[in-house]
Order: sequence, then structure tokens, then C-alpha cells
Amino acid sequence: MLFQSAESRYNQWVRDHYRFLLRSAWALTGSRAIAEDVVQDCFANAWKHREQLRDAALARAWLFQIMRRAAFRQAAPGMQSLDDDEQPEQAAPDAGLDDKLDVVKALARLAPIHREVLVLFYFDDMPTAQMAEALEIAPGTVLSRLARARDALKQVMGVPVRAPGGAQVTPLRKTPS
Amino acid sequence: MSTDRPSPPTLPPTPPVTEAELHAFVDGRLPAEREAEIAAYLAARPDDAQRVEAYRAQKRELHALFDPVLDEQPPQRLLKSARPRAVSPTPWYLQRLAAGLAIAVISGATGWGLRGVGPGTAGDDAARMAAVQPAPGGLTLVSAGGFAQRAAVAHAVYSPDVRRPVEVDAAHEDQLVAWLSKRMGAPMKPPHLQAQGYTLEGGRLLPGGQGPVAQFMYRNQQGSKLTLYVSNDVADVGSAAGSGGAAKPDAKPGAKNADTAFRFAQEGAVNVFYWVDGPFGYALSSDADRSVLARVSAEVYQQLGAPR
Repeated sequence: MLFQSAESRYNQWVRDHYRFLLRSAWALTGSRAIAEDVVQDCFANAWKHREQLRDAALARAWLFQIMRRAAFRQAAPGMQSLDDDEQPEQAAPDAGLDDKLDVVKALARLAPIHREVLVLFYFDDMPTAQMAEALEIAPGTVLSRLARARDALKQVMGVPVRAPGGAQVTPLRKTPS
Repeated sequence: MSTDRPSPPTLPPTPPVTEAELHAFVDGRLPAEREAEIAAYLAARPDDAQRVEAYRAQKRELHALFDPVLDEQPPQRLLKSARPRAVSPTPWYLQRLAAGLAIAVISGATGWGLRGVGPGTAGDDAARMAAVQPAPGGLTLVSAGGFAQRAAVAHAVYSPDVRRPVEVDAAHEDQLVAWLSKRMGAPMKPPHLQAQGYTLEGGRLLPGGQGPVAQFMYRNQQGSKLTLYVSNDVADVGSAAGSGGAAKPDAKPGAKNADTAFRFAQEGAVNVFYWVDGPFGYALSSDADRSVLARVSAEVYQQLGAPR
């Protein structure tokens, strides 16, 4: 279509990206109800700032960026901030027990920057450059953050991050103590 | 016999496996040749292979949990939101009221069913609103008007729901508080009633008479539910309460809205205590005895009035 009104373009965003955003917001916030609010706020903000999107190919990454901000704005007061510094994961008092945490509870215990990179990566086959745009980080940081997030999720779910004998694998970066 | 033997052909050394390559292997982002090398590497190292499998399991579990969302259609209210927002900003809760119309219809029907056995069965709505009868214990028995009736109906509709009695459960109380506070435009923190035998189950947002209403749900060990219904539209609370009743122990002078005494109403099997405190109307509904409900109401009142 050569010409598309702003409104129909917006509606196309909703049709194309609502499910992706709702699924991501739910995984980020741990609550379906809050996720619905977050996605509604996301689309409202997207409409308000629609002129900021210069490249239609980046719509998904741009909407995720808006959604993640809304998600952490609406999150519980105790939730960790989205500062670029990597925050430690919350303690998992039962991580050493046989009670295996389900993945939602495990996600909730991750630092937000780890949670969001996992959610984005697992739910969308987005090129690294677009993931960087969506997460507002440098492209070179995406994969290293993903690696740490995977390890963090594994750890929170009660599985040792470094199995014996696994030391031959070269870490990308020293694991924060 | 010569011991000199030709040296075996030298193979180029296999480059060491990096963490990045393991992740790329998980994600299928390696060239075929390198993928085969990593597979051979993992075959000899079961611990690393287990780790790689754990990464794959993460992805599978996340998809299994959240992929059902992909079958849903975007709600119409989102598609329509572009035009009205640009022209006339409508409070979000009025938009949600439309979505809550179905609930209201169901609630009304349920409420009609509930009226048949209560003390206010005789007469029409006007008579029910006006009927104020003295009751033992210094309270005033009124047939429930709009506010208390809505609270009772909301209790009757949601408390038997086994699968989803609340929208946000108590395990996410912080999120529940943040969400309801935002929607109600004021801090909404549920009182804790363990000392009265009730544990918080969670809460939800409902359409009220003029705006949103917060409902908190509690449950005791016997499985009996209790709901606290909080509205910032107190006009109809006053109309339902009438003028009788005992004075509240420590009514707050100068509050925006005139505080009222505790009021008692009955809608079918649901007992309701309700009152106004400042800008909010509160209704506590349960099938528990009135004496139990009175005790819990006093505790709720104390907690809500205490500095938080």
C-alpha cells in the first residue's frame, strides 16, 4: 500500500504485534492482568509518539521498547530498576531443594535486564541489532547478556550453572561474583 | 630396520569452544561444519551437554506456558483507542466500564436472584432503598441499596469461582497494590486479616456505579470467602445508608465526604457491612455470621485508618 493513514498504520501495529507484546509483558510482569494494562499503555504511548518511528521495519523492536518501559513502570515498588548495571538475582531460598521452581516464578526472581533479554530472545527471532534497539543497549552487549541471563535462569531454577568439567568452555566475560 | 617413520599428517587444531558458540549452537546459528564440531565436543562432555539441554528446556517451557496467548485476537478497544484518544481523552475506567457491561448484566441478574430470600424481599427498589430498621447491637439494618447490593453481588459472583476468583493473586500482592492504586487513583493496600482467620487470596478491578471498584478476596481455613469492596464513588453509599445507625467510634471530622456508621445489609445469604470513610466507601461481604463480620469490619476499619 502506497499510502496508509496514521490510524490504519497504528491498527496494523495492534494486529501484528499485540500477541507478541502481551506474551512478553505477561512473562515480564508475571501477571496477565498487569500485562493487559501494560500493553494497553504501550499502544497508547505508541500512538502518541507515532512520529518517532522512522523505519517501519523496526516497529516490533520499537513497540517492545515502549512496552518494557511500561512494564517496569507498573511493576511492584520493590522491583529492581532498569539501570544498565546488572543487578544480582534475588535469593532463591529453596533453590537447593528438590522443589523445582516453575519457570514463571524463576523468571520473577531474575534481574529485569535478564528477564527481558530472555523473553525477547525466546519469543522472537529478532536480529541482534533489533534486539539491541528494543532493549536500548549496544549490539555487542546483547549476546553476552543473553548468556548470563540463561545461566541466571538455570541457577534460579535450581540447576548448577557450572557443571563439573565444564570449565573448558571459555566464558565471554567473568561471571559477576 | 629403520625406526624413522613419517610423521602423521598434521591436522589444523580445532579452535577452542567458546561460551558464545555454545549459545549459538543452542540457537542453531552456527555454520554446519562448526555445529558438527561442537556436537562432537558435547558428546565427550556430558556436563556441558546437560547445560546446553537446560538452555533448550528454558525456551520450550516458556513457549509452553505463554504460547496460548498467540491464539487470542487483539481486543477491539485497542483498535478503537486511536481515534477517541486523539479527539477526546476519555478516562480509562469509562472505557473499561463498557468492557465490564457484561459483568454488570450478570451481576444484576444474580442480584435479582439473591433478593428473593433476604429481609428486604418485599417492595420495589425505592422501598428497599428507604427501608431502615433498627437492629440489635447498635447497628442499623437496611435493605441494601446500590452500593451494598453491588458489593454483595460481586461477592456472590466471584467468591465461588474456583479457577479464577481473583485477577491478581496474593503471591503478587505488590503488583496487585500497584495496579489497583493506579486504577483507583489512591493507595489501595489490602488489610491483613490473619488474626481474624482470613488470608488474602488476591483482588480484582470491577466496574462500580460511576467508576472503578477494587475487590479484595479473603478465605478462611474452612474455605469461606470474604470480600472487601472499595469504591471512591460514595454518593450511593450514603443513599443506601439512610440516616440511622450507630456513630462510628472515631469518625474523622473535616473529611471530604461525611463518614457514616457501620451499616449492615443482607442480600440473600450474603451479609454485608458497609461504611464511608473519607473519600471511600467500603463493603465487607461474606456468608459468615453477622457477629463475625462485625468483628472483621472493625479490624478492617482500624487498619485502613491507621498510618500506612
